Amino acid sequence: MVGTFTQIDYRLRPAKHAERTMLVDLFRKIRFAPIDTYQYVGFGSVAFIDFKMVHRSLGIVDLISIEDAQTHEERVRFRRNNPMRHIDLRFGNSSAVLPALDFSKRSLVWLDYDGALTRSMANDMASIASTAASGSFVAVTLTTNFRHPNEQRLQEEFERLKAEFPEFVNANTKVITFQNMDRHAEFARNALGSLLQTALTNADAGLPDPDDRRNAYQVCYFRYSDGAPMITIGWLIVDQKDYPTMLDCEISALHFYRDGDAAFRIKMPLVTPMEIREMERRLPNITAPEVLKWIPQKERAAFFAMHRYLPSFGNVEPI
Amino acid sequence: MAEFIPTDPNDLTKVDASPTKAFFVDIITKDIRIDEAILDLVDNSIDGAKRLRPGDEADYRGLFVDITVNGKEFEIADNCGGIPLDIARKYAFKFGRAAGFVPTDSSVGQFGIGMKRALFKMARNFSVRSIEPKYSYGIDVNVRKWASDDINWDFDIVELKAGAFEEYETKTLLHINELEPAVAQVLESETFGRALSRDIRVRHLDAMRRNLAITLNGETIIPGDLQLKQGAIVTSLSRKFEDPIGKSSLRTRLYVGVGDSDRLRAGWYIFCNGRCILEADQTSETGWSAAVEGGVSMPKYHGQFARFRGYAFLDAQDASILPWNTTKTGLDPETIAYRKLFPRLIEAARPVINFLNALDAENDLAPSERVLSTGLNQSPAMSLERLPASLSFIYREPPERGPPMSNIKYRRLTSEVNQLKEAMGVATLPLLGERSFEFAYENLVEDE
Repeated sequence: MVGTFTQIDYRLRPAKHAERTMLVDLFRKIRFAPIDTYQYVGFGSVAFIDFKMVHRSLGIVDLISIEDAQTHEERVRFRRNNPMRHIDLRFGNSSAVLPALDFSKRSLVWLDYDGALTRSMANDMASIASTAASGSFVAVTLTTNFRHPNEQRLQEEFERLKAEFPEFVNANTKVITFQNMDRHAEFARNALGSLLQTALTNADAGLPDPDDRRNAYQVCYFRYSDGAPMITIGWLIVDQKDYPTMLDCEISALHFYRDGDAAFRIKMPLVTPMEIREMERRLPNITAPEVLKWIPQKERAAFFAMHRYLPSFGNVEPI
Repeated sequence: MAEFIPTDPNDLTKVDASPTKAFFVDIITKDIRIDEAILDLVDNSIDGAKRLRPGDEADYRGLFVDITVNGKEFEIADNCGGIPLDIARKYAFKFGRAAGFVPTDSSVGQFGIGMKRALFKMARNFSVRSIEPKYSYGIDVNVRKWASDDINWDFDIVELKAGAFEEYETKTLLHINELEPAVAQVLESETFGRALSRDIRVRHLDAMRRNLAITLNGETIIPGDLQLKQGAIVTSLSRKFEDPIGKSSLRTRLYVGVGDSDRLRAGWYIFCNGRCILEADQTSETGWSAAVEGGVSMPKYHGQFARFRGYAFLDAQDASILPWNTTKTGLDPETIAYRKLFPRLIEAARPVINFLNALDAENDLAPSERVLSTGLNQSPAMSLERLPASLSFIYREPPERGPPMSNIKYRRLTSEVNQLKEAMGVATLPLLGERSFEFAYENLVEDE
């Protein structure tokens, strides 16, 4: 899996920005160990935005970015764009790089793919799960549009999904099942979560102490669209011993916490800077007050849900 | 039976020229090295396999030789037919080859001096237990006690029982529970174990190729002819796992990479305690379809993955934890060991599959552009146990690969060619070709 960094300008994706910020909020809740002792593993691409965020917000210095850059020129470009010496750039396909990483150290892993569901995503997650320390977090991001103007291509894509996830497709599944975006997203969430749990159960088979056995607990499930419809699902990997600590983290108190099939939909408010100022000074009371009724109710609701995670736009390059 | 009649001290006509046992023991063990002594014992086991299944094409599947070597004890156990009681009684422990002994065809060791030399070299105490088709019996020897009596040269057979034993019941167990102290020091060292493993690998390649399983200290010795490509383009996976299962421990060695293109030999090879239980497997049993990731399990006749080779060696003292079925002929997906193994096979295979896909994609390029194929052909093969540890299979493209190029070739009238040469101001045909292409390209393509 590789991020096609040439196709998307990551800076112009407000929902993505909100998602990153929310994930950092989630990481702050983690209590298994001081968060700055974690390692962060991701696909930094050329912008390394998430890497800068986890470093600046959480003090994490153990940072590993995986890049499937094969040519010398590409690699040079990534190295030149590396903003911090803390970031350890690992070149190669995730299937080859992940098995070589040490996940016995508590980790925050974000597999931020920009393609549709594939078995290789599940295999990458299984690779991590096989050795992931209890208290680790794994998230996966993928696109969920199952549309194609060409009927034949659509059918091929359908056959591919059936072949790659035979355990999750039954005889009644049809092309139209996946064209329903909700069902398609749910299919991905269910398949990936289930395969992650299977990987943990297999890896922990035979452990003499049942308290050492690990489970995956889904803690977030975002749906949003910055152009293409995307989902991100995140799980904590926690053994029985650490289960009480997970409860102490109180991640479920986060308003975007999701442990099931109901996604938190990231909808950015379409509002002006003036409107933002007016609403922000009246927080938390903005949904219905008379003075704000000139701002559409829908935008006010979106602002209320997302106000802490709005990007700042300006013609200024971040340093 | 074998007794010296002592010289009568009062008989003035006799000189005592009889040997002492201590002298014999000293003489026969003097020139033998410890590793040679052990190799002699292994030879004996392999001779057993040859007696059991004669012929140049014989398959030794199911037969094993298990060797245990450490600073406290030495043991060699095999299921290669046992030592026939008759051979044990008349030849195996006799000093020197007795008349009437018929050697095993193409035997490497031959019970002659080998076994005794080896035992006397290493042991203060040893015991042999053997089950052959008609008898089971044992021999226990305290070497010092035996040597202190120069009159009686016999060993006593104990626990002798007549019976009718099937081939799979036959065995020989040779155990030294008290080592000569000097020998113990040598056997303790890790270097000795490694060297011994290498010697056996080289010496018994043929027997191992025919599926005889040889283990040293619970780890299968891998035949030297199992090899993977290793070079500038590819680094093979070579890694070990140790999993506690119940009270026992499962040791796994994985080697994954590419070999020569051969559809029939491509796939996974799974060995349990040295027995090959799956060969060239490309089924869901080894996670093949999950690793291929395209979803479609590639049929064997598809050439794309004909270079894939994966070897998994699983060893356990407690054979019941190994992932094989009850008949030891296939994998049992219900076992804990299988659940540990299965995801590792997928994880290990994925990067190789990616590489083979990239290699396959090169077929669309001109031969000079196929840098992966060229690099791979130049990579030597290395035997598995020599591969340096690597957590995953890695491939690298050579640094320089320009855009794909094409050749153009055509014939035109020489007179016209000469005219064009003059018009373009070039002297040679290759230059004319290049210039005329550039001329056409500039006028027809670049401006658009």
